Amino acid sequence: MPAIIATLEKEPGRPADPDTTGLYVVSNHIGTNSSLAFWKDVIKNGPAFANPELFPWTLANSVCGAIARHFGITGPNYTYTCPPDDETCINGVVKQAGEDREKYGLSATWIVIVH
Amino acid sequence: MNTIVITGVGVVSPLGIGIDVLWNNLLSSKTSLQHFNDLEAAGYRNTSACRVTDFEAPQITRGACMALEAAKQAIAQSNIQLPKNTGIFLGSTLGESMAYELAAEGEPIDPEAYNTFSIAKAIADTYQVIGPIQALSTACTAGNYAVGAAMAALQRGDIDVAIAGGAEPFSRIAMVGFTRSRAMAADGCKPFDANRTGMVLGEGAAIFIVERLDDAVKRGAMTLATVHALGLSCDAYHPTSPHPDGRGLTNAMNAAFKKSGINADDIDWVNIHGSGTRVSDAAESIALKNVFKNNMPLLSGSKGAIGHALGAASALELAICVKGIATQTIPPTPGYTIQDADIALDCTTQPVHKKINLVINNASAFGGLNASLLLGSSMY
Repeated sequence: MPAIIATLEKEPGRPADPDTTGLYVVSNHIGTNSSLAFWKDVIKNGPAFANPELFPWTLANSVCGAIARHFGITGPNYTYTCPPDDETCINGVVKQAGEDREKYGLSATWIVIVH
Repeated sequence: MNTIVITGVGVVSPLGIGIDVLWNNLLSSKTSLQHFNDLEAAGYRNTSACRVTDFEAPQITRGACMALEAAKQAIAQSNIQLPKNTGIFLGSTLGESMAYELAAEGEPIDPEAYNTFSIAKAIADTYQVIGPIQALSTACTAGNYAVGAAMAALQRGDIDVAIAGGAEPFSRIAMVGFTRSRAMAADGCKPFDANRTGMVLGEGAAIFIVERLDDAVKRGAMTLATVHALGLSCDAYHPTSPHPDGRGLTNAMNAAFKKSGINADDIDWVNIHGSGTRVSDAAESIALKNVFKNNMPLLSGSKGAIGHALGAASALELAICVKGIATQTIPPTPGYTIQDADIALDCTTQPVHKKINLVINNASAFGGLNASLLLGSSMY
């Protein structure tokens, strides 16, 4: 997560108007490692004593939420699960972002592909 | 702008398989909440849930099987021959949670082959359609997102028909996670109630056939509801808690009004997110007051009856909204009995028969997501 934030800090940098910025994260694996780690913790410590801090990171939209919190982005916030290099999926995301730009009056749309 | 309509609904829910069974049980204020011995035996602190007990499927593809059953019902109701370019828009939180659990237990499984996309792909493969597939992993708002994405693709002309909705099999990861996050109810889900103590985990699937009105009319289909707009926002506040001033859902509902050109004063009914947690319900109540002020529509919620099915929740509740529009009936709110002094809003306690032109289906999620889907009667 810190690497993603650092990359976005460099380019595109902080959004001029985070309230009119939309965020679109595309990945096939966000949440996988956390889910495995969380369930291994459940196996090790039992369901009554598993570490609750891991749980929010099991969700695929956890990264999109974290980016939004870091940059204060309150516009539409999408997480798409799609196989790597699925052009149809990426095209759909680009179209959705373009449409949201018009319909929500967004000043910027960030499409973040996480491999 | 093309008008977008729903012409078919399919449901697999803890309160029944098929929308009519779910609806009739909901009108009777039945709840599907049960104690489960397997959860007790495994040492879970919380052993009650709303599970679909009359649906058999392999555990590792339970989500896909539920989605396929719901899709079959929706297609049958719509009486449609699916064109090749039919698009699939499917929301889920975890996908097939069991695959992740088994992989962590050492089984040789690639869990990413069982994520949200896999459920969407199963529908596309079953019906041999080759339109776009969008797998929306937007947690407890995912069903609303999926129908909104289908609406957008239809309006752009990318596709002629969409199969859209949400699916979520029962997840042991979520059961432990929400319990350890202290979000679970001690004694059942009580949306907006003074004595609410949290949520109850559910599971299920709801799938819709969505198409352009012109196309539906041309083929003589019965339109069940009009999809007017999806409003989205993010709290950007906390990983698991909504902003306490309700700004997220306020912005989502207002976005739906702005996109559709419909006024808040014209809304007849809000299907609340109503998870039953102290903070989430309190924030939603503030959002409702921000938006509707002194002209509050009737409020109902169904998580007291069917639990919180995460990525399928807003889809299941959208199915309830569609049925409510079709029958001009607002269902009761199982679990709600005593008004909370701080919330100071009432929910329905009995079925209410009235003219329903417009309804908002609210959903919120971990990560600060908010999604408000604005539906109308087919005549509005």
